[in-house]
Amino acid sequence: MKRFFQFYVLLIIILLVSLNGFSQSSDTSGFVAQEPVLISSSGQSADVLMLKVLSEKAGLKYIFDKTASPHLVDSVKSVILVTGGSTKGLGAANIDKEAEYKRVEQIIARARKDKLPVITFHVGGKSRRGTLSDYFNQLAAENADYLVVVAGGDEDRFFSDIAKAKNIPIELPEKIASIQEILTRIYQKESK
Amino acid sequence: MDKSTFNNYISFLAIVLAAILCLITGRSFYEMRETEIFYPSSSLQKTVNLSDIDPYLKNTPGDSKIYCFKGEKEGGKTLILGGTHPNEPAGFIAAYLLLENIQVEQGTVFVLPQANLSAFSHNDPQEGMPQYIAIDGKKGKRRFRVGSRITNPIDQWPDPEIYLHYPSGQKLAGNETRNLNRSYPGKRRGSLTEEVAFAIIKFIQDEKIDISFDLHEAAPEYPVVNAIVATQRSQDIASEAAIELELDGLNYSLEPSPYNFRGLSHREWQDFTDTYPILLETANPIQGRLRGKTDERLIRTGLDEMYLKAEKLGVLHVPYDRTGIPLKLRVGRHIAAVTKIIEVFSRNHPKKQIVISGIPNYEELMEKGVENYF
Repeated sequence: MKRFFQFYVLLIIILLVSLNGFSQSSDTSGFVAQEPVLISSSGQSADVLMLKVLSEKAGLKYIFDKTASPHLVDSVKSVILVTGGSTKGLGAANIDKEAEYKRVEQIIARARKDKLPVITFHVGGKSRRGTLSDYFNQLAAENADYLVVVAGGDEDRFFSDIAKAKNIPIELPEKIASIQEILTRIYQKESK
Repeated sequence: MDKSTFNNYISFLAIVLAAILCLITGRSFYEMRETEIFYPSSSLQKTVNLSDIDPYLKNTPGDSKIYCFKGEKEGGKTLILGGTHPNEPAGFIAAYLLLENIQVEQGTVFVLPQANLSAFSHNDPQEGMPQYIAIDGKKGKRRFRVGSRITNPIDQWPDPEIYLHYPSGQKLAGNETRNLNRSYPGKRRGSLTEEVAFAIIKFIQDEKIDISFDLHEAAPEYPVVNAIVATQRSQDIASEAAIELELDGLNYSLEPSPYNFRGLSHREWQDFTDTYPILLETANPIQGRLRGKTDERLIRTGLDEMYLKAEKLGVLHVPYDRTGIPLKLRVGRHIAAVTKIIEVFSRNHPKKQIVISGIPNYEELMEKGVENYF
């Protein structure tokens, strides 16, 4: 009987540890970044505008440019990429998906060279998944130093698996509005 | 009876049969020209016809009516368009619901519920669309026409081989010349559809409308669905509204208005007026190419077996299950988004506040249904 009890306790502990592993790939509590931050898109979805609004509310000093060229990275101390593809957005920006991919690659490369953290946000949920979006999501997620994915976008664990494989801290807030608190914490701002 | 007499009888019978069929179908076609009767709320101040703005529309099938609701306190102005595409029912039913229930406390609300009035008088051939949707409400059983995406060819004909948009010269398929949402900014003394677009743009300019809405529906497999489309001017308000709507449990994707696709309402309202343009899209299987039986039930329930299969194949851009996407949900999303965007606009423009009441929120519509408000 005692052995059975010990077995079940061990089983529950293993289960809890593995569930924790599913929700977060590694520790997210200590990650910080500095202002000013460049906020740009990866895939030209309009979701980047929501990050702009939330950054404004969080009181961040930022440069906002959906189609930022890599040299802008030299003017900041961190980079936020908001990922998700949009054909309308690419059309509006007058850029094709290959050129957009290359632009994002160059921004990441410049940030790496300048030793600046890249924080990738995915806020569009299920509607920013699929072939076009994942083309950009993969790039922005794999090269992030920190990942924030609003839960609906990770139902198939696309981002969690990347985070686990690349050992990138990931947060999965339920609501977009929670991102304001995350920004406040990462950039060590006073809560508003 | 000899063979010749027999043949004459058969010919006569065929002519009579054809006449009966013409009478039945002709009557059915003709009924589509009978306009709806609306019962505007007590906030109504006046109505304006598009021909009051552009006299060239007088006595034409494009002379639609704008309902003006004014609050006691001065404030901002908003224009809400339904029926740009009369085959997208949640767009015009939301506008009808607004005009029959809205109370304006501050500012002015204009509702143009049948933006392309001519397109309500026919529906699209070979699509099997129902002609009407019936709503059994508090004012009795009423039926509303379900029309076409484009102007009636009786009112604007023939279509060119290629439609050259004015003034950009953009080339589109010939029948798009009758699509109001490809005709902005319109043209004085142009086609009927261009004339309507011209009148709407002029109304926005003359009245100095602060924020303008165009309500639509789209297929669940279309990427721009459950969406708020915003331009450079309106994108911040739209973003803030989308975040707050998500807190209320309603997800909207945010889509930019493309610079290089001309003729769209939001694009040309941005470039030819000072208004904040917003276009809203809900998801409706009756708009889609994967649908099965196309009837009034499908408009009402939004439930289609083929779309359940499509969901399993992962080709849809919205969640879809056996609850379907009912009309009350689609209308509820439009009303919720319009209300929230007006609220955000008012918060950001304290001197141009628009305060409205009397219209149901999303939960109330889901609980009581659309019928409760007609």
